[in-house]
Amino acid sequence: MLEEFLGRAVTAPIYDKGWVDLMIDVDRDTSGKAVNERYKGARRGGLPWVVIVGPDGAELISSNAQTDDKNNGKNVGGPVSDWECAWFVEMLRRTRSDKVTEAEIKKVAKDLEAYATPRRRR
Amino acid sequence: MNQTISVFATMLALGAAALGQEPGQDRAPRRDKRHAVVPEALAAARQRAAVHNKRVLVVLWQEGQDLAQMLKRDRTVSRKFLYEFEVVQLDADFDRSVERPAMLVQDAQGKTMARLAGEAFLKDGALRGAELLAAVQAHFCAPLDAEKKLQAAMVAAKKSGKNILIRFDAPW
Repeated sequence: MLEEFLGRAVTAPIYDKGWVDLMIDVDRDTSGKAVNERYKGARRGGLPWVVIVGPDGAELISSNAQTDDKNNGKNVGGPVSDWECAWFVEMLRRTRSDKVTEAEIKKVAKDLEAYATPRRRR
Repeated sequence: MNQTISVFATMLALGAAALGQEPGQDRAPRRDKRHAVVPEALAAARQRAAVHNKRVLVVLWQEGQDLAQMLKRDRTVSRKFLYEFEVVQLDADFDRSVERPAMLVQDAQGKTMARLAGEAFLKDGALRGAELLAAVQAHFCAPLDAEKKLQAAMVAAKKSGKNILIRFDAPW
């Protein structure tokens, strides 16, 4: 779901401009589980789990939401609900380089809303 | 790994044709050397296969035999195929030179690695899963090392001045 969203026509060029995409399969990749555990530690949530790191590999932010409400610490996974989408966009906002503008982040947010809305439980 | 990154980047740059397409959107069909038009579902399967280090299993359908469903239901192959293949079932218009039902094992670039006659793996309407698995497993992708993928991504990130978004996922 997240991969599908990141490949959308609006979001893909912005994402490609700002981030190196790395998919690690925890079941199939050798050391996949170990790398996942090293980054994730004791944090909550299943898969997908996302972390954005700098070029040195140091963590900048993860998909465990930092909010002031009941969702604090939860993994947004493949973002669908309002708060999940909001946190995912915030992850991008906080880790964007000057290659990506705030206006582009807003475009991604709008695209995510369009993608997620039909997938939300009614 | 570099290949994985660059293929995904290409996929993104191209607008990820089928992956992100909304119903009704009009896109130019892709072409390759062997087929005048690559069906959208196959193009999407190849893109996913490139990102996920898998092969593509093209199921050439014949009326009355839903081979793709059989692959999903057969316990011998279903999980293994979920892990190793992007399975795409194509209709009768694709590659008429191949007798139906059939399966093609292709790499993510569309090179056919094996052609399998469906009849060889069907008996009394049931799939012979063990034989099929034995026939295709030599073509599975070798596993990639996550540590090496991470190192390659770090090199790419340093070069490009980008951060790295790591998606931890699994086939299931």
